[in-house]
Amino acid sequence: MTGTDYNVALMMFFIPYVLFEVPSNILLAKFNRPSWYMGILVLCWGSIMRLMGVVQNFGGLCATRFFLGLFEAGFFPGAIYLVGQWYPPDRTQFRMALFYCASAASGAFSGLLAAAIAKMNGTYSERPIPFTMLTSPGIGNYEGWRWIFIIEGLATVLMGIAVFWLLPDSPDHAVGRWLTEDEARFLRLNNVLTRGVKKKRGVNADGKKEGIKWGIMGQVAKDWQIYLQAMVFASNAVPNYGLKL
Amino acid sequence: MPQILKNMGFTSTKAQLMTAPPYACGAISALLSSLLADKITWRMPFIASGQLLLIIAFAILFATAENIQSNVALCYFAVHVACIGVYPILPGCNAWTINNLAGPEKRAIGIATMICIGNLGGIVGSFIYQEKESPRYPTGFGTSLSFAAAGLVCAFTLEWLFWRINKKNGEKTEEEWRAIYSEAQLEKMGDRSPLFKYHL
Repeated sequence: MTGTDYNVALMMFFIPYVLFEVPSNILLAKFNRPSWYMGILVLCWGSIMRLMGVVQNFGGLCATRFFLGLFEAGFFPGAIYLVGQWYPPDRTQFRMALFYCASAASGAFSGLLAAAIAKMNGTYSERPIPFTMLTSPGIGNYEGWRWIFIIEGLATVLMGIAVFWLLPDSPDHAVGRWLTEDEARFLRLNNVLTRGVKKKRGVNADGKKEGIKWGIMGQVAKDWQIYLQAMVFASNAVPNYGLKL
Repeated sequence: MPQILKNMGFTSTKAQLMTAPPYACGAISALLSSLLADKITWRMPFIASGQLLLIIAFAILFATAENIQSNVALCYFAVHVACIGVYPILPGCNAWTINNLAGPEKRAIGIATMICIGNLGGIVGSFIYQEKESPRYPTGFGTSLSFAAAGLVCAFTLEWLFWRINKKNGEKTEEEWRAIYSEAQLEKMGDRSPLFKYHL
């Protein structure tokens, strides 16, 4: 890659990632079974990752990174939202901390894994992987860095399939499987009581279900706490980037 | 961090290994502070103290990075402090936001909007650490420092605003509020309903 190519490839991921976080969560909130939506997301980005292993040119790289950003956008806000749906307010923060620690640990682990897979190439370079090794074919005529994407992508696809069964949807869906009717009722009531406001969208005077609420979009857009919290969030994001360098 | 450690004069493999202890400290501090915050159901102090530690850490790095080779211990310490400060902020901020949004739809849209805007900060982060400014990174460390400070101000502002609204809502009893607003109106107001108590 030359000149600004690297930055362009980077931005190709970030643009859909930022743009689709909100629409994706609106979609998620409409699903009765969030595990289906989350499972589909993971399946999609796992497949895209495998495709990244066979890209042949810069255009292909940009296209795969665009779709990677598109499908990954929904995961983080979705996961946070689902934690909030299951746990009462005084139990959420610890669960979120566990979630972040798990993702940090997997980040550390993936570095090791990538280093190990890259050795399938025969030559291991400590430099960031892509495009420096393009010239020396490894196992199956694929360079080591390609195998990273192909193998980790395959693992992601398998985990995506598992999500359909492993991610609990809602107390109602868990009844009879790992919750009793009473337990589910407790969780439902607890959610309404501690988090306030009804569960389902109302039916308006004409008997039609109210559409997805532009009103709520407006409420959020006008809500000062969102912007202040976003600044608190950024006070983590910016310094954190420096620490990762 | 590997770059900071390399600037201290360590080989890149050793630098890679030396990143483990600060990360471990960060993870422990995130878990412990979250456990405590849930227990006392008060989130602001843990976020704010994290931001304060960040400010201290980046101030040390900002001041000493030029002669990093002669300040190895101090800078390595600062890196630990930064990790201990930075990791509790996200779980705290996410939990605080989601607890103060009423109704599943507003929660879904609100949390995504917040993360989306916050992530734009991450994009800023990717531009401010420039290779040519190594090892001092005045733009990088300076911007990080000011973002931490601005975040601290925002956390205090939120706390004060929530506290004020709760106080105002507490001036009337539930019956008195219900006499003023109908059930449907209260539902529609969501977290702006006088019966909603903001989490501090």
